[in-house]
Amino acid sequence: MSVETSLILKFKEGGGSLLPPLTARNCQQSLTPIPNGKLRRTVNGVLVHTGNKGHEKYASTISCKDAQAPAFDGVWQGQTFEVGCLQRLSQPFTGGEQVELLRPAVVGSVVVFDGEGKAHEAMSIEGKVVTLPGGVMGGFVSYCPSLVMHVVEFKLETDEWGMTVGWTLKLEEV
Amino acid sequence: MRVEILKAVVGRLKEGAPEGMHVYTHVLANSNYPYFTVEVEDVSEGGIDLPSLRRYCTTLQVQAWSRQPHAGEIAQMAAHIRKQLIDQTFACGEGASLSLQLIKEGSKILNDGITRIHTVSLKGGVKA
Repeated sequence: MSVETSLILKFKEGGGSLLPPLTARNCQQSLTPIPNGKLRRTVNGVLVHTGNKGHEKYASTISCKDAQAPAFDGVWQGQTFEVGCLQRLSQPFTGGEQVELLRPAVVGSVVVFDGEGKAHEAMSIEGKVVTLPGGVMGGFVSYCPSLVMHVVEFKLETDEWGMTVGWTLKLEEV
Repeated sequence: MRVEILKAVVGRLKEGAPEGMHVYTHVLANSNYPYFTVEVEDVSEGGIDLPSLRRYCTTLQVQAWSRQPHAGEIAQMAAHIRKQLIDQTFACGEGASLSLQLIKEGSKILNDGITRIHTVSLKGGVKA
């Protein structure tokens, strides 16, 4: 991981980072669930959700103001990126030896918090399965998700006399 | 981490500093001009309390002090700060790196009419 940013942004089909030096320091990232279905009331007045479990996906907006522009020439709507997120996700667990994460984790990002909030390294991680350290009976597994996302839109903007380049990238999970 | 950041920035400023220019973290009353001063204003620990995931954010102020009657010396010192610190990444303590970004910079002459100061405010991130 670079000291400038932990964010990973590259084409899914390969190639290097789209974030050269001085392009992504102090980035901001949001992860938002994409609206899925509707909340409706039955004839009996009970609220039900019509969403589909398989449609539970994230949208993300990443923005930054730095000295140089990211390598977005040749990037267009619909292209597929691998995004190693800054924003962490956490899953609770109670007992057991393993936890299956809902998304793949960025290498080196998985942390197990015990009930007192103390951080522990995971015993091992294979795919999305995290083997918990011994003696941790409950708590949270926190990780930076590695998401496959399509480009929705992006914006580059230069403040000439301020000598800064701002950029915003909007993405949705495939 | 404050000490490591201070040492790293002082060391970086000393590298290639114009002859006779000292770098101080504390200026004594009888110090001779010109000199640089470094002040680490704030260090906040972020990230997670595991060695591989620990992060620090810092803000610091570097100043160049000159008493030359012309602006040449202070300009030279300001250029040295820019070259050595702004948008630079360098070692900071054992196995960690510090990356610095400019917040703002500016020059002024003190009310004594002699002393020129160039102030550079920086923010930085430290990662193992």
